[in-house]
Amino acid sequence: MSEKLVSLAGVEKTFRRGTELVAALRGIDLDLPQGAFVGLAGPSGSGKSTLLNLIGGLDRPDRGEITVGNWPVSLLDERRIEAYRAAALGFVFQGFNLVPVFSAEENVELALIAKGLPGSTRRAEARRLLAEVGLGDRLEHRPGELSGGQQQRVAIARAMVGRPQLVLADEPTAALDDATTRQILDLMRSLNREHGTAFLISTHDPRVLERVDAVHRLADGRLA
Amino acid sequence: MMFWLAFALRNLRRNTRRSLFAIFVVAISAAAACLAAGYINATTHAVREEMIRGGVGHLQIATSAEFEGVAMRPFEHAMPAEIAAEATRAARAAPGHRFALPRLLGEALISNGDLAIGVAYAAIDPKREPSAMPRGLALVAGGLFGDDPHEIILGAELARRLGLKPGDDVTLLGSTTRGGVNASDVRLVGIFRTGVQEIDLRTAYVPLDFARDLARTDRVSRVALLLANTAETEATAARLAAALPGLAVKTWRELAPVVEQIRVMFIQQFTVFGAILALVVFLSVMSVVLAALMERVREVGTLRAIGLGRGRLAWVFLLEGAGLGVIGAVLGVGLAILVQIGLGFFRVMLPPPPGRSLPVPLLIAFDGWIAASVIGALVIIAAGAAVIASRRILSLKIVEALNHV
Repeated sequence: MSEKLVSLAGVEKTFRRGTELVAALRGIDLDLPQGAFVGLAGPSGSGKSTLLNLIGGLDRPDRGEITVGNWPVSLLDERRIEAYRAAALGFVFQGFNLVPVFSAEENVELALIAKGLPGSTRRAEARRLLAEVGLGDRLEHRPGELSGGQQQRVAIARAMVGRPQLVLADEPTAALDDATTRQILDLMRSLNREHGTAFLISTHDPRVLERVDAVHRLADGRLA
Repeated sequence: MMFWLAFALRNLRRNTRRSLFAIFVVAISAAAACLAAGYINATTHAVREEMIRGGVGHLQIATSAEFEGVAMRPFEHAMPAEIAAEATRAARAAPGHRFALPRLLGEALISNGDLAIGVAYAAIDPKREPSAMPRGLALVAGGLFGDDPHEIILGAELARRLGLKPGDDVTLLGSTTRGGVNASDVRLVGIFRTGVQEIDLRTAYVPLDFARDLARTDRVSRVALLLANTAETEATAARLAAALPGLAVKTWRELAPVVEQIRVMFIQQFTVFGAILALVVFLSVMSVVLAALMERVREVGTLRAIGLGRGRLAWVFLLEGAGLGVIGAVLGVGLAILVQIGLGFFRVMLPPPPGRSLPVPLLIAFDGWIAASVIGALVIIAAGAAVIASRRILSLKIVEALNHV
């Protein structure tokens, strides 16, 4: 068994909706090994995105502990949690979330700025990653000049460029057709194998679930 | 830095119409501020030079009592000849001096035979003074003094009331130092107009030797000093005060306090005007940046998710605001330069101000310092507005920003 990368113990999260309290996560215990390629499945509103947000340090749990590598995520202050996200994580969003005024190269470069790398190093790394995801000839193209699949490749390059331990992908194929979904999954899988980067993919897309190594299913805020 | 600067400038182009609106507001404000400051600059400079070259000079040397202006007898506090000569020598030895002009100031009645009017006369060096103080002797008829000492130059309003023209003879009736009365005929050689009604009605110039003969004195009331450079006034005054311990030295600021009063009045008006402009720029830039940010909430959330802190993003928004400020302010300064050139070309005249009879030209003279100050102030205001506008977006939780629709 590989060494543990992600560890969640008794994680709970409740949201207030109007006057009502809604329990999004109820006592989640979860361990993921280094280099995992795992799906997080469940219907809409089951808590998938909330769980990814908590692991990604984008939100705070009400209770429980979250550890990623050597980072005690649930205990970090804001300044350190920014450092954690920059150093240990990559994000892939359903809507790609690229900056429209930046070229593909600049969008990837963005993720390295938080690491304080010099411009020449950033650009070289961005080009290397874009070449690796098959967009070496699209460096100067802006998101509006790229197809949906190409945009998601840029987003994956941006997520991978800082050599993270874990990539959190939230419904990464929801906006893509079958052929493009296959290509994106192939790409994520090859990056997972070549770099040893773990992927936690939130989805209810069966095309994704049949390609991952393991699936954790969430229902009503609990892991099945 | 260049990366974020490029980001900021590209963001300004996302909604061109909105950015152009903010740039337009900043440009108009910058032009208005430059023109207002340039008007104040030109007007205060013109008033100052009018005073200095209209007779006040940069400095005047006299006894303290003479400056106070209270005397029991005519010419009581005027300087004796030897002291006046020493003061004149010291003034002519001062670095940067151009003219040192002894004057005797007195009062007299001027009569055309039918009508007599009281005047204040300035007895002057008939050769040097007209060259030194051209604005005080702006002739509208006749000429300057010739070689005959029995000549007089009158203000235009005084000549009009007495029905005089150059070449006419008048009688001047003045006091002597012992309190007696002396009269002498003089010929009107020139008529001047300053545009200040009171001066044009009550002032006469006569040659110094003639006035001394009329008053039976060799005294001098004041020695006026004209310098090559107005900025040297205070330093020269200090040197002369040290060199002439028994006399008082006063600068144009003390002799013509109206110059400073006008400057202070203008600055107070400009402060209110400037505050209104600043508020307009602040609100315009803030509304434009806020509108732009509302369309980029998810983008802000994404950037923060990938590790960029609030401070770095605030810096981007500051650059965007500053970009609007720089572009608008530079365009505004350019517009103000065009207006300044246009006003100079067409020579626009303003109606006579209170107490004056002549229209005055609309002068605008803003310099590099004013332009740089206006640009700097507007850039700071625009950048500050953008940062304040961004605070609300940056204070959102990342999850809220990412889920923003």
